[in-house]
Amino acid sequence: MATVRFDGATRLYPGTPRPAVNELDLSIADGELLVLVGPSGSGKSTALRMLAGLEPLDSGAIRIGDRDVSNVRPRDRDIAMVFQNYALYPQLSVAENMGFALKQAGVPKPERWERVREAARILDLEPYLDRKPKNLSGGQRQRVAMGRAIVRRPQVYLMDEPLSNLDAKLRVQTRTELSELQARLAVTTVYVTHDQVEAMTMGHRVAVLKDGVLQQCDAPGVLYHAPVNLFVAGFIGSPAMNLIDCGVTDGQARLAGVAVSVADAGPAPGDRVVVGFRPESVRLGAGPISGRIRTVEDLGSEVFVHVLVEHEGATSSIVAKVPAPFAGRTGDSIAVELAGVVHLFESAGSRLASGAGGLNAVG
Amino acid sequence: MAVPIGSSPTSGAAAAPAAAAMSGDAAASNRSGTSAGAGRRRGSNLGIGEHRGVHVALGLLAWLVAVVFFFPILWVVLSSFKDELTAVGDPTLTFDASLGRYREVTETTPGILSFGRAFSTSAFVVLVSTAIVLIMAIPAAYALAIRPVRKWRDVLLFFISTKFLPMVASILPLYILAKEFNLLGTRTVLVILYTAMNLPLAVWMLRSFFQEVPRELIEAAEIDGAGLRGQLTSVILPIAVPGIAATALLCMIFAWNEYFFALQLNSAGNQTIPIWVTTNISEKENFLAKLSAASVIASLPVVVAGWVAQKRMIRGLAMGAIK
Repeated sequence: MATVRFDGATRLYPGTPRPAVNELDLSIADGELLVLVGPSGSGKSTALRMLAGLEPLDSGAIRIGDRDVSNVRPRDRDIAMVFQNYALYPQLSVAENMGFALKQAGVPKPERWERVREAARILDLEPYLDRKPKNLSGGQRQRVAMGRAIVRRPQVYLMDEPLSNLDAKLRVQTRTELSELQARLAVTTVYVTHDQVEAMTMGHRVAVLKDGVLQQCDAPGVLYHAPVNLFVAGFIGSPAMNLIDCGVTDGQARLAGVAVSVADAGPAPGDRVVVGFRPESVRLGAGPISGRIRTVEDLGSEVFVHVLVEHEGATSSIVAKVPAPFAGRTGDSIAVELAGVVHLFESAGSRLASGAGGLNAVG
Repeated sequence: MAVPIGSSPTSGAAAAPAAAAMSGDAAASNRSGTSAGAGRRRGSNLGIGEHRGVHVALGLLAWLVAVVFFFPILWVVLSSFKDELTAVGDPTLTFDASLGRYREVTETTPGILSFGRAFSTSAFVVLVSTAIVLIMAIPAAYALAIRPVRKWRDVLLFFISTKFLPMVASILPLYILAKEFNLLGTRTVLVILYTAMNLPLAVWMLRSFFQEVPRELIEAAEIDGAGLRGQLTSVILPIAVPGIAATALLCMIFAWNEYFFALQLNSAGNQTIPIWVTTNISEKENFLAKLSAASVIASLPVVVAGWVAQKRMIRGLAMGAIK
């Protein structure tokens, strides 16, 4: 078990103009589960592969514990990796798959068997030890891939979208099991996913990447409630945060002609800002803005209502999350109010302020 | 065996009975007056918009081509069971079949080359050259497929370009070299030439098979602590086994069938099966039946190997296409 540190780690694929991972600085604590999340092409998988030693560094360094592993071969880094498609050796049985690394390391057979048994017990794989991967279900294969990592007792687990090949129900279940397992084993884990729900539910901290650049790395709650820029604000949360580009008059942003107040903000600087508010901060039925319902998405426990409002001469869509039941229907007129945290971002993207906000009809 | 050419594997065999079933069926559906379902039945292997008539016609054509292709082989096989006079006489299907010609060609030696000697030379040359080909081609294919060297395309082209030169054009320098190194008339010279002849093909085939090995498996093995040899022996080779078998089989067949080099570079005593076949040609007496028997013997190993390995080989050859 160990800490992991990326020190200005950069990877530039030959023939591409922009680094896939650009000057990444990241410290991961011992026993922490850190999630790397971002859209495709954000460099999250490349960063993981750099840590694994499958991609070389063009500059910077990566440390596992106190050791600089930048020029260490993958097999000497004392890591274990779980691949998206599991990468099980097709000609080997489950037990042989799990024991492969130990065999390569020259661990004597009785001990090998002991450790494979132990991992199989943890993962409920004992009945399948003699089977070949092709005779297993998707979920079982996923567990074998996990088992292969556990058996090794490495310093760091690397997981590259390990749940994305499972069906939705199994994914949610495995997500919980995996979190529990990681907590029990307390091994430092770097987990890559494009699924922000996975990131938020599993990560002790979540690092959001975009275009190879780290945007923000913090606890899930902080990412949600205090995103540092427009990208993180829009990426984390489903449905996404409402982000509306507003003009500023008399030091106050105006949403659909109505002044937006933010508790912690001074006068809004510049002449344009982006006002951001979560769907749950939108209240429907009363308020100074009038809108028309575009669609209603009823999830049973809650309802997402998309409302069209007139904003600066064009029509903007706002999502509201309201408790079920909700009576409105498409085409109905409805009044909109903001009640909750409102964020202000400068047009370039950085956050200016967050705080309890509201609408001042007087303007 | 002959396989209908130019038609899907099922259509040829299925066409004839299907045609018979069709006539009754179509009549039935016409009587009942349903037009939409006519000619389309549950479980039919007709594609959407395909017509049964076209299917049947193509099937018959495939069978016709197959019979035309197969006929000369049938003629040789039949001749090999006849005596010499019947073989040169008018074609007949009624004759006293005997294994006499087979006995004759394998037990008597018209020149100085006996069947046993030719067979052992061929077996030796084929097996040794194929083994060397694999030993050399596997690392080459690894370097071209899994860790591509720089300019791997040029390398690949270079390998195959060695096959562009006509064999006839290279025989003179080869002959002189063989003579200078005292290799004329030895098995060694054939082993060397057959290795060189099959190596480019083997590298090309193995490269495409190796490319099919999922990258993540190799990376997983690398992280799991396997060195280059461990990756090759525990991951890549076991997965590529069907491909390697297909490659080996093709090399063996090509080496077994090779005639030109064997004829030019080997003295009579150390020659291979294809040369032995021709020693049964005689100027003094009828030889058609004997030659036929010898031809069948020469073809048998290839046919048997092909038949036994058919499944594996097809899978190997198709490995590039299907995951």
